[in-house]
Amino acid sequence: MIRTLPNGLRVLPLRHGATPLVEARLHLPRPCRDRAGLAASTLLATCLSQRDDDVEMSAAADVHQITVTAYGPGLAAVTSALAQAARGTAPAEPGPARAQLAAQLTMVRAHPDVMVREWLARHLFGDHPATLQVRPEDLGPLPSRPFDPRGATLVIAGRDDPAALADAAGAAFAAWHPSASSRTPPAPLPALPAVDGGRIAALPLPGAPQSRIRLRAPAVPPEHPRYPALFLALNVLGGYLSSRLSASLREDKGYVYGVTTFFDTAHGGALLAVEADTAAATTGAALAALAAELRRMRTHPPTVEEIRSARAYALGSMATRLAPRAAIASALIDMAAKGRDPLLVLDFPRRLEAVPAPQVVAAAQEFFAPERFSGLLAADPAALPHHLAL
Amino acid sequence: MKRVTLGNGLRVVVEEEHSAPVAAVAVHYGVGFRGEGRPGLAHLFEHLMFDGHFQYVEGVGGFCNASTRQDYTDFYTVVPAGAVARVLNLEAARMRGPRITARAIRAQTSVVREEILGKTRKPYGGFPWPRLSPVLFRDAANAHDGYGDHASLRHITPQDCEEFFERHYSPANAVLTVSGDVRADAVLEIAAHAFGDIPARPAPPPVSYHEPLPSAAREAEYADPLAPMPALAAGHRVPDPATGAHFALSALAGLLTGGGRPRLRERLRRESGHTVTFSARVGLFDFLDARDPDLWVLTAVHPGELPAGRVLEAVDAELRALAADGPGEEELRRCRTAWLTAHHRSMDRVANRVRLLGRFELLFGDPWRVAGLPDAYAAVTAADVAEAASLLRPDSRALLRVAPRKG
Repeated sequence: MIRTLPNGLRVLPLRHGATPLVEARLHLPRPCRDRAGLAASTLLATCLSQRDDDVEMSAAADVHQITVTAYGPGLAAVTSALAQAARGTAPAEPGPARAQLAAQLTMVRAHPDVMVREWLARHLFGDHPATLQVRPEDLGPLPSRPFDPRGATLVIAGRDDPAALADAAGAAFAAWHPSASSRTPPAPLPALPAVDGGRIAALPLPGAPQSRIRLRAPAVPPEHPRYPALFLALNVLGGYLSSRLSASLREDKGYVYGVTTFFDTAHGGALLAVEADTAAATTGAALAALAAELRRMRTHPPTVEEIRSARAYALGSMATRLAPRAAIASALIDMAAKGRDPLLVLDFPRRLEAVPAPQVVAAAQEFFAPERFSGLLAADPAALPHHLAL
Repeated sequence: MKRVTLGNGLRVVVEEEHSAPVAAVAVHYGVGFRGEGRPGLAHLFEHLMFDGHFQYVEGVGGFCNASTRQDYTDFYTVVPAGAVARVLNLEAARMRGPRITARAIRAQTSVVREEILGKTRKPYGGFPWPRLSPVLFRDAANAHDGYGDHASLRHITPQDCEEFFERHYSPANAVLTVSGDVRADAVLEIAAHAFGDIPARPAPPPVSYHEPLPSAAREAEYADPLAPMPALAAGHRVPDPATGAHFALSALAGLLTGGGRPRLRERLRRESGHTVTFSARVGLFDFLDARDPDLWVLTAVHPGELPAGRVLEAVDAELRALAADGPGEEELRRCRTAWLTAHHRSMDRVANRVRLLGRFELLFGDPWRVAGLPDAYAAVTAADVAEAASLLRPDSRALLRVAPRKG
């Protein structure tokens, strides 16, 4: 199903759905080790988003890569627009994009959620490049640097025959070669440091009416044999509205509008995430209720009925959420962009069905001990509990 | 696509779409925050209808949500296609009568409070909605804050809720829509069985919320201590959606603020060297999403060095230019293509499709209008856009300015 072109680009063509649009995603590795590098990537991504033709394009940059999204009515137009993006050259003079990006950064960085995310990354990962943040003053000139096709991945989804989709990609990207000076593709960034448990820090947000609880604990990556069992256990805890955390903190006690658990696989990591937003007055009570539910995952392990429901939810939501063509294309490229096999997405329902209940109980027993979690409590200083622990 | 009306007045719309093994069910009730009487009651009631529903739907592997808009409240559920019968039974159960207790009201009132905090206590929270409405409108139904405030919601009793349900949630005031990988005949049969014996109650008589156009420009300002830059929202009343004028108004929004080189951003960059972030649309929340009166709204976040007056001058200059000369043919063609692309992409999500069909039936009595949207948009001419631009006059505009944090 995956075709590798002579230049090294991996092409994953997919026939899916019935709409007349072609949806394509291009993952271009570009490791950034400092703010200047990340600023250049971010500025290039903004430039790539400013097209003035019939292909809709947007691009997002982080310290590892630029991911380009393109869609439109014409297969040839979409692939040729992406092949242009792979040259690493801004399609237009970058001045306007720089001003627009500076305004965006100013607005985004004012959002408390963004600030909290930055603090959490620094608290967990120290000075790893994953914690780099671009500021408007970092935006400089835009050097033109071609991308290397080795390590790049293209997902292309449409209603045509997959072979025709791959052929169109092959034709559009045939002239893309590694630059003469680079013998090997750029080395990826070092792995994230391990997350030690028991480090809950306070982030004072004077005057904040709402407090944010952000917790992380080590997990296993998606290809690991225990991942599907842990996935189901995490759903039982807080993955959906029928979960224990939602039942307790939202429906029963009314402490929160949102409480959620998920796998945080950003930056190639493999972490369990537990997050809740609550009013300042209920900060301590919400944290205590959350810790109680973590402990209960071990003292009252997931029941057969809870596991059945979590599995039905997981399988059903794979079907419903990945039905739109844009959604499946994005899911596949996200997996590739994390350095993992994109086909893991398509194989996941089979693995979920095969998990025996005792493995889910074992995962809950091992992974949910409160002392394994670290994270942040961002709140008004008066709302912070005296004792910051789970 | 099939459409029938059951004996109790419930309208049922079914569309077959077999590209993926999923289906969606929507129920639209003909009451939104304009018809709620007490501020926030329609939204709180939306929450109360969920007692237990999420758990059932997730148990069959789906997701569901709801929204409260000006003229309707909709509940929608997306599931693997095999679960549609079960979802129809769940919807019938809550149309028959939800269980509403004082305890549930207390819990959901605090959930609503958290939701409002989350949506308003952030940079540009509550901007432009609900803050723009009271600047443009005078009638409380149109002007008030549909979230409601926590203090007034606290006094709502189970009896208030029962009366609200009795009045607004009758089958005759509702539309049931199913779209996806289903057989229309089978769905109609299940729907007739599940909903057919819900007792008929009269639908409330239609109410017009029309009010006169503003006779002069109106203006308000508020401080947002979290906002890093000043912003403004300009609201204009628009003709009744039945006139068809919204298509050209939507194109106008796209020409001014969309695409790679939107007119407004380019003009201000040329004239002032500053970058302004614009967006515009027709419809307070969405395109053809409410009955009259609705509005055309433009927002701009601009640098402090560029006064709001300069931004508005640019808006008015572009509107005058478009009213006089219309857009260029190539410019209009790109705008149509971008709209069509966005439309196809949106319709590829069955939740969006089912909600559009349902609200077109509820608001306009015409679910078939959905299929005609691409043609209606393609028929917009440069002259239509020029006429639309001439409607948006500065002397009947509502202007809302956001003063950012100091320093």
